[in-house]
Amino acid sequence: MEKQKFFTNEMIQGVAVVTLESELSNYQGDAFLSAIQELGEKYARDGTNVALVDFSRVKFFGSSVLEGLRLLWKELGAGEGHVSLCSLNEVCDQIIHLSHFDHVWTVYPDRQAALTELSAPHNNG
Amino acid sequence: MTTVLIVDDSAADRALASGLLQKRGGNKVLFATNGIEALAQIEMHLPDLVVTDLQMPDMNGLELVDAIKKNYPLIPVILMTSKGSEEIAVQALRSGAASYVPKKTLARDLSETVEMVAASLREDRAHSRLMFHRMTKSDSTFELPNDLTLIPPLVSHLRQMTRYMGVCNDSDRLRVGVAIEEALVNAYYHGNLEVSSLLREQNHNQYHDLARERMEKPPYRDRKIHVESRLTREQATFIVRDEGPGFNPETVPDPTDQKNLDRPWGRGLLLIKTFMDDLRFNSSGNEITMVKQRSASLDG
Repeated sequence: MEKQKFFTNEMIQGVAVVTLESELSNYQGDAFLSAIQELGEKYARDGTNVALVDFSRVKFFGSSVLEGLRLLWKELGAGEGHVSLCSLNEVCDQIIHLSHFDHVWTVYPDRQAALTELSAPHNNG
Repeated sequence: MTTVLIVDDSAADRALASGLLQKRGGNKVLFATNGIEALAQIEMHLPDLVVTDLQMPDMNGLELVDAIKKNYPLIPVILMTSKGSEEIAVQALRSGAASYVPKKTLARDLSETVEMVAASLREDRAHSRLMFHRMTKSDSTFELPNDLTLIPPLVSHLRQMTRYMGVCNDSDRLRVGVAIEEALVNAYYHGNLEVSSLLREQNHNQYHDLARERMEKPPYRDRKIHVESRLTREQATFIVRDEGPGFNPETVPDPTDQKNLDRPWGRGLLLIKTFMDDLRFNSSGNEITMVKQRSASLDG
């Protein structure tokens, strides 16, 4: 069976960008968590400690995605690493806000705003 | 008469597609050369369906599919794919494109594909006319084996029924879907399989390994999830019951407490509590009743 693709990841302007795919049901939580943890481990090995997660394709998500983001954050070194989010619709933004993750992660309105801020020289070291 | 918007930056391909659709008869054809022009045409003429190329300047086919799905969800989009656009076509289909036709077989397949999608559209519209605001009450009961793959279609069905009943707006319907899905996933893992989030806190792989192991063993594998929905125009009630021993919801830690942010606990329940207007458990804690009242904004 073809492996489900939950996200794509690429380096853009020196920022690790993770673009989530639209189908992120909780029922695939197991595979999603494994995939995101694997990515987090790769980032940790590469010394990447800032990641931008792009939600532009996501209409809604549940606790599994929150758990995946928490794992990614942990792999990036929690307090020292940084997870940023962008392009959340009204429902997704509310879910992040409700879970209080907006207290520890930065939410940007869109990818361009996030990249402008995250790729600025003062964020590179 | 089906009105079809053809979007392609190649004049030759526009002419070919247009000729094929008009030859078959019964189709009125509009044109755009990129996604931006296409959106303007849709705004002005509201076509029945869109046939689009994928690789175009300014706004490509994938971006166009996203914009149409967001702003005109009832207009189906058919992709015209060419060599090199396979990856983007897969993404567009995932984003909700209805079908695709390779450009090299356009002459053979385009008219038939458009007719098939248009027929399905007519049927959907007739069904919608029947269902929207004409159904006044719907009760249904489901008995599911403990099978995760049945959760998305059930959630989708219940969301759709909520839509027909007109209980809440689009955003609230997504929230209702999230809440139902959380309740079903809780019933699967914590209820029927009795796998605790404590284990997930230590290692999420062990958590899922134990779930898989228990799916093979009685009594866990034989347990079912029972779902009841009672929908009226005034409120939607959803009841999810598992066959596990139940739990005490009071013991779930507050996931919004700063010290619990790094723990995998209680977020599903938090979403359910927030997205539903009323929530209660039975005395043993293996049944949750969630109620969504009609949004006041719909009456304004």
